[in-house]
Amino acid sequence: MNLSEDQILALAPDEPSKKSGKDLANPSKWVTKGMNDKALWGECQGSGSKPYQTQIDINNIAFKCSCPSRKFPCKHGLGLLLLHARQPALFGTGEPPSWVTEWLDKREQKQEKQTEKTDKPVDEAAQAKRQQARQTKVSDGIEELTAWLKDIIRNGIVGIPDKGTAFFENISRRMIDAQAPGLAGMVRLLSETDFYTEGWQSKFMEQVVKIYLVISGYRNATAVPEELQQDLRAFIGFTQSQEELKEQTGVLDTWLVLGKQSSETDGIVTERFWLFGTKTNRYAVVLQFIVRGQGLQFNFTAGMFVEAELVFFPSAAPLRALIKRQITTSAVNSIQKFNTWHSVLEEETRLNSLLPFRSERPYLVSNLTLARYNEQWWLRDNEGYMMAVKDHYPNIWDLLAVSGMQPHDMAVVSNGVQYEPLGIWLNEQYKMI
Amino acid sequence: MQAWDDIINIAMIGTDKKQPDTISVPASLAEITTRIITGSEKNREEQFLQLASLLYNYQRCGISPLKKETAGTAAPVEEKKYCSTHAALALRDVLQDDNHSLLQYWLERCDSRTQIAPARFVPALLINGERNKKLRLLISSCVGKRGEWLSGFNTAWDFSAKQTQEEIWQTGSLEERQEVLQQTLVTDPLKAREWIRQTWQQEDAATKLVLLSILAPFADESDIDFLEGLSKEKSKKLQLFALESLRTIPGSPIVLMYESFLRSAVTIQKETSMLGFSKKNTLQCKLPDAVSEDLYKTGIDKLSSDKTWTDDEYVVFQVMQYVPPSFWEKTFQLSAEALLELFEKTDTGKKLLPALTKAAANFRDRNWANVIAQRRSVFQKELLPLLPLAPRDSYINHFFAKNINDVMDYAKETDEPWSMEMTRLILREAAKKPYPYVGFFQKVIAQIPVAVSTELSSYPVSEDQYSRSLWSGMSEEISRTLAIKNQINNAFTI
Repeated sequence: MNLSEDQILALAPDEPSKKSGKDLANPSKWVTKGMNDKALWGECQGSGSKPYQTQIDINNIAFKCSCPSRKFPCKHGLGLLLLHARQPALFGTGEPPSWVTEWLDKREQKQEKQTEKTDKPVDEAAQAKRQQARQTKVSDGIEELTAWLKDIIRNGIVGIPDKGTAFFENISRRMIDAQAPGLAGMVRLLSETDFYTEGWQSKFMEQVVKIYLVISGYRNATAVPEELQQDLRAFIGFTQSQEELKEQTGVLDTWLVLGKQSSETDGIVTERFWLFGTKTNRYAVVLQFIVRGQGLQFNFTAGMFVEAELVFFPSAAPLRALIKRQITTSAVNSIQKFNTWHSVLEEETRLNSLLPFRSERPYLVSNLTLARYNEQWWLRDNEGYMMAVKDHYPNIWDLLAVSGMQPHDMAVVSNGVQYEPLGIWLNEQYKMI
Repeated sequence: MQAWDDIINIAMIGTDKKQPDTISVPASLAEITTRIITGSEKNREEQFLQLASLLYNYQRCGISPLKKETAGTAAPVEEKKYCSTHAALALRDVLQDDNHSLLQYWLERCDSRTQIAPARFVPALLINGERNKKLRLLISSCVGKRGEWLSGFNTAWDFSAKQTQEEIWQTGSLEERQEVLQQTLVTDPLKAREWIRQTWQQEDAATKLVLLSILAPFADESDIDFLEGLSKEKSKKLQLFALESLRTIPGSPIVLMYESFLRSAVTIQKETSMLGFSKKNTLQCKLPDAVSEDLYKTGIDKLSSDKTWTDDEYVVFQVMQYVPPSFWEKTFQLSAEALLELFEKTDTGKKLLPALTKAAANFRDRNWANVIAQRRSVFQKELLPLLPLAPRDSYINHFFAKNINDVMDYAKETDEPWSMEMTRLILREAAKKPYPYVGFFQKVIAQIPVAVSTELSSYPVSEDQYSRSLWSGMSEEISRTLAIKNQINNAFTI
C-alpha cells in the first residue's frame, strides 16, 4: 500500500476530518501501533480511559475503529494511515493483536459467505405476477410520458422556460408511481436545462430525444439485441440483482482509479468511481450509495491501483460495474491511452452505434494541451485537433497551472460533445484535478 | 448541421404549425427519412421525434475535432527554485486551514529563501491575493513565472504580473502602494520620499492621509520642510496629522519652540532643609509671564478642566509629550534615572511622569524606555516595542492585570514573535475568560511560539461550564494551528 498524503486525505468524508486526521498523524497520540501484510493497527488515546482501537485492511482499504464517530473513515483511521505514510519505520511488524485478527477473519468470512450464498427458494409464480404487474405499470407510465412529450412537440418548446418546475415535477412523480425511476430521473434532467444560456433549445431537444429513444426502444424491445434490452431496462429503472451479477465471472485486472465524483440527492450521496483496467484496457464506473452514518463498502482514491475482479452490468457498451472481489493494491507503469481525438471519436461513434442513448464515459488520451479559442477552453491533441472542455468546468485554473499549456496525458470524461478533465499525469504519476 | 437546426426550428414553434417533412436532411439519410415520413406512422409528433432521434445520432457519430490557431503560449521556465516537498505539504495545510496569518508566515519564509510554490498551489495563492491585498507582493513573488503567466488569463490576478516596485507605486491599488512604500522606506528611504513628493499633488486627501501615516514612523529632519508645507493643505485632518508628525521630529521648529518654552516653565530649585544641614532638588512648574500665542496655536490648551491640575501643570504636561526626553538630561545635566527620581518626588512631578513616558514613546528613545520600564512607576504600551525582550516581559508582567487591553493591543499589532512569558500571561488569561478571545489567536498565530502548545492543557480554567468548553475548543484549535506553524518552521530549516 503506497498511498500519498493527498490520496489519504482524499478518503476523508469532510474537511474537519482531514484536519483532525492530520492532528492524529503524530506518534505521541498512539499508545501502540503495528502492521503486517494485511492490516495496519494502532491504539489512540482519546478523551476516555481506554484507547480507541483503530484498524485498517490495507489490501482492501477498509477501516474499523472503536471510537463513537459515525464518520467513515473516522479521524483515527485517517490519522493512522497518514502517520504510516509519513513515518513507516515507526510501525513494527509482527503478530496483530486479537482484536485485529478477529476483525480480519470476520471480513474474510463475510466475503466467503457472500460468494457462497445460495439462492433462497423463490416462489416463481408470485415473482412472475409481480413482474407482470410492474410491466403493466411501466407501460402505462410510458404511454403517459409519450403523450407528454408529444404535447411539447406539438405546441413548441418556445414557451417551456415559462412553464415552471411543476410542469416537470408532475410527470416525474408520475414516472415514480409507474415504477420507472430511471425515466423520472431523465425528466428531472430535462427540467434542469439552463434556460438562461444560449443554445438551450438544442440541449433540451437532445434530452427529449434520449427519453424518446429509451421509451420507444423499450416498446420495441423484442426487436433489439439482448444487451441493448438490458440497457433499456436499466434506463427505465429496472434494477439488476447484484447478488446474481456477483455470481458471474468478472474481469480481473489492476484498475487505476481515475477519479471520484460525488453528488447528493435527497440525503443520499452517490459516489462515482471512474476506473481503467490496465491489462484489459477497459473502462468502468463503480457506484457507491451512502446514507449518512452508514459505513462504506469500499474507498478508493484517485491515482490508486486496485487489483480487483469487476462484474459489468449487462449492456451493449458495458461501463457500470460492481466489485466482486478486491485482492490487493499494486502499482502499474504501462497504461494504454488514445493517441488522438480522431481515435477517441471513432470509439465514441462505435459505442454510439451500439447504445444510442448512453451517458458519460471516460477516456485516457495522450499529450493533450489546453488551448484557448473563441472564448472557450479546448484540449488539443498531438495532431493539433481540439475538442472543447466541458462548459463551466470548475477546475480549469488548476489544470492550467499544473499543465502550463504543455502536453500531458489526461483522463477525461466525455458527454459526447465536450470533455471534462478528471486527472493528469505529472512526472509519470497520475493526479486528480 | 443544417438538419439539426431545422429540427430545433420546428421544435420551437411546434409541429402544429410546421410540418416535419420540411427538414433538409443529408443525402445519405434521404431514404430513411422518406420511410419515416411516408411510413405507417401518421402522427406528426411521432414522425418528428423519429427524425430528431435519427439526426441526433447521425450528428453524434460524425463529430469531428476542430483544427484552429489558438491563443496563448506555454508557461515560461521558472527562474527560482521550488520549495521543498515538506514546505509544499505545509502550504497545502495552510491553504486548507484558510489562515491568513499562517499564509503570510509561509510566504515570508518562502520568499526569504527566494523559492516558489509548486504550480498546483498557484491558483489558490492567486485567489488569496485577490481577496487579501496586503499579501499580494509576497504572493507575486512566491507564485513565480507560472503565476505571472497564469494572470494573463485572469484579469483579477493582474497583480502577479511582473512589475517593478516603482510601477506598483505608480499604478497599483492603494493597498499595494502602501505596501511598496512601507518596504521602500526601509530599503531606500530617499527613493520613498521622492515618490511621495512626486505624486503628492495628484493624490486625493484620503490617500494623502494614508501615505502620511506610513511616512510618520520614519519621519526625520529631512521631512521637516515637506511637513511644514502641508499646513497649506485644505484638509484639516491632513494639517493636524502633519503637525503631529512634526512634533515627533527632534529639531523641528515646533519641537524647538516647545523646548524653549519648557526651559523657562520647568525649573529645579534647591531647597535647604529646616536645620540647614541638607539641600534637596525639587521640580518647579510655573509658566513664564509671557507665553507666545504661537504655542497655543499648535493645539495646546490653556486651561485645565480638571480641578486637581493647575493650568500651568496642564500646559506643561501637554508640551512635554512632544519634547525628546534627552532634552531634560541636557537642560538639567542629570541622568535619566536621576530625572525620574526627581519627578517622582513631588506631586507635580508625578503628574508629569506620563507625559515624559509618552515623549519617550513618541521619540522612540530606547534608553528612556528602558529606564522607565525598570522603575515601573507608570505603564505606557507604546514603550513596549522599544524595550529589549527581558525588560519588556518584566514590565508587562508587572502591569498585566491592570492593563490587559493595552497588552493585547500591543500583542495584536506587533510583527515580532511573542515571548514565551507574554504568551503564557495572555493564554492563561484566555483560559480563565475565553470569550473575548474567540477568533483572536488564529489572527496572531504567526507570533505565538510553538512551544506553548504543550502547556495549554495545564492552564487553570474557569469553573463555568460554557467557558471551560469554549477554552477546550480554542486550545485545541491553537494547538492544531501551531502544529502547522511548526511544520512550516521545520520545512524551511531543513
